[in-house]
Amino acid sequence: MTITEPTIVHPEPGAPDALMTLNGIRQEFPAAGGRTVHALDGVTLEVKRGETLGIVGESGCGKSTLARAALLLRRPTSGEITFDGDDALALRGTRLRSHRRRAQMVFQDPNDSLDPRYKVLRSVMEPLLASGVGRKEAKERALEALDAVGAPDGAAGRYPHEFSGGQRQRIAIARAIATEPELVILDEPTSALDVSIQAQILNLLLELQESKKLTYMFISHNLAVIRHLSHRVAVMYLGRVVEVGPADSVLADPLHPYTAALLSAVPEPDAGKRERIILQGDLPSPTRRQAGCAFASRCWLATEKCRTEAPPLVASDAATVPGGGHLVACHRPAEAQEALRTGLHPASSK
Amino acid sequence: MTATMAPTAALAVEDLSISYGGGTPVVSGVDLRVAPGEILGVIGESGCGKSSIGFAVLGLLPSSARVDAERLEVGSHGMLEADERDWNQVRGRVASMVFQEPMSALNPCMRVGAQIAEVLLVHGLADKKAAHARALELLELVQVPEPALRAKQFPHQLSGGMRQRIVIAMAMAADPTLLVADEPTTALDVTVQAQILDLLDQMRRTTGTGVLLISHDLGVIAQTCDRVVVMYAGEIVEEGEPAEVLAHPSHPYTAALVASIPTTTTDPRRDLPMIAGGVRDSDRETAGCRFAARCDFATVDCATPQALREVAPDHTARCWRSEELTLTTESTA
Repeated sequence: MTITEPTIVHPEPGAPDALMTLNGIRQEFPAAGGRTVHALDGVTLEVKRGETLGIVGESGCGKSTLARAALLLRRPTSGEITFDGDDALALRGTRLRSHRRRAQMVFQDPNDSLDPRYKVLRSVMEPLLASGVGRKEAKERALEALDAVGAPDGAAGRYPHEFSGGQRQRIAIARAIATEPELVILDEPTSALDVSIQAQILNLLLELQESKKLTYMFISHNLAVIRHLSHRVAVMYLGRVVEVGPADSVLADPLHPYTAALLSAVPEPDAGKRERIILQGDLPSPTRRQAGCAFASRCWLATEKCRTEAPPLVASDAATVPGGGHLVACHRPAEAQEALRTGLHPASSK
Repeated sequence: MTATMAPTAALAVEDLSISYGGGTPVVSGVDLRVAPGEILGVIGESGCGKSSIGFAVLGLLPSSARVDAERLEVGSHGMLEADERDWNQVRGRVASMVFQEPMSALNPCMRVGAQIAEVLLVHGLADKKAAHARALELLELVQVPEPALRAKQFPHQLSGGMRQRIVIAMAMAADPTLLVADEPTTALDVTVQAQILDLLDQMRRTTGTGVLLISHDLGVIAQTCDRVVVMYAGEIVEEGEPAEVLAHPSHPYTAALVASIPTTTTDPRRDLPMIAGGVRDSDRETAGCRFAARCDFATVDCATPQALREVAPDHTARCWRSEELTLTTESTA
């Protein structure tokens, strides 16, 4: 079996609006029995300055692995990462440390970034001290950050356990923005919160983006939340980007059958009962690299070509706005588009 | 345990109150009725008491909990005075439960087919051979492909969605009258969630089992349930058909809850309406409306006790201002 390597596409040099470019990122992990998990199978994405790029996908699609690779928390097996025009993977030592100040992360569980034994101030100061800011200035800036996220008065002198989940997430966000980063990667920041608290955090994130000119990479399995925050959306499946483009065109008029199925599976409170595309089966094992389209085993439109030949991520004639930057990796995008419109397909269990 | 004639309801609860260690009740004055084959949704945020209700109707609350009710009938069994032996007769047989995390209900060291068969053996409903044959039938009922192969596997060999199907098969083994499902799809991906909700829907139609579906996800409730009760601070604040309750709420809390959730019709990148503050313990002690402290429409009269009253046919709400308020679920405030 031969697998065509994903081509590394070089964006136009000096594209001024790209803050970070990921190029053909592959991340492999050794698995039991000498097998290899292909967590990221050639991901190419661009994060534009000031935008929110939403990354959506289900468990195991590689979205969190992508976040860790993008932040250089784990070096990808291969590929290129360009940050503000520089080769980020070449950074070492002090230059790497000063780079970390520019890209920060917020996790799903605020406890992941707040040490329960530290008072809040110390946790929020930590990234500042690590990037070489002096103690006095670090304290000032940490307090400013806590103020910016609307943490309760006197929060700095208290411990994480004294706060509710929503407040703790605010504090984790303060820690992420304290170093005045350009890029903040948000990995499911509201998934553990009640819906009324989720609204508060989403509003805060929008406000901070505006006031601090932040660029977000927003990772979530929740399509409605992704849609609410993102300018552009990338849909991942089994370590690959299957569709990417402006949020309103990807989520309203998807070209990939997986995106169509994902959208139709989301239960909406005000839509009542409706026809859904119910996918059969589960995600294939990431230890078996797919020769063709990663989604072919669950796709009701799959043909022989889909199973043997991986579709490249390209602009499609079926896109609503041609040239609008809506890319899809599918051999049959027009049919997928039709499927969501009618909500019916042969493999539907209804 | 008193047995009456043929069950007219899978679950009938009247004036249920639950408190822990003599504290303020976490649930008070709750009436619930699940008809055979019906899915009743219970929705609310953390701490509203929805899970306590699920545990109470299966006698699973810890001994520190105090349960009071006018009526508590599971299937045709009155369980008000029930002791542990009575509950053991009912649990798994008349009523069963599916939890959020399938691994918490599965024995990691036992083949899944044997775990399903065990339910029947424990209740003396089948001999060993018949129980195993029935286990395969149940795997088919919950749409597990290749049941004979899967029955021999251990839980760790199955995906999350497949494990939840096994748990549902166990819950359905004795053909129960009532199934309590507490956040059954919260730990699953949306495409798998759609499969499991579809399965619950088909199953209750074929078996006539009534389902009490507890969830914090308004979308899940809207898609799956025939009726919904909205809980706030231990009380039911609104009840009716999901399409009606969620699209035209009559209680300010329901309206605020629906509005705070981004959906495919909300304005992207605009502020979402928020519910100010949080539930305080004192809200549960107040004689008046428990939501009043956070409600945009509260007046002095909200301090008087609020009854759950009919605001439209088959639609009740616990708010005296329901008719005069124009509640909107639009999040483009």
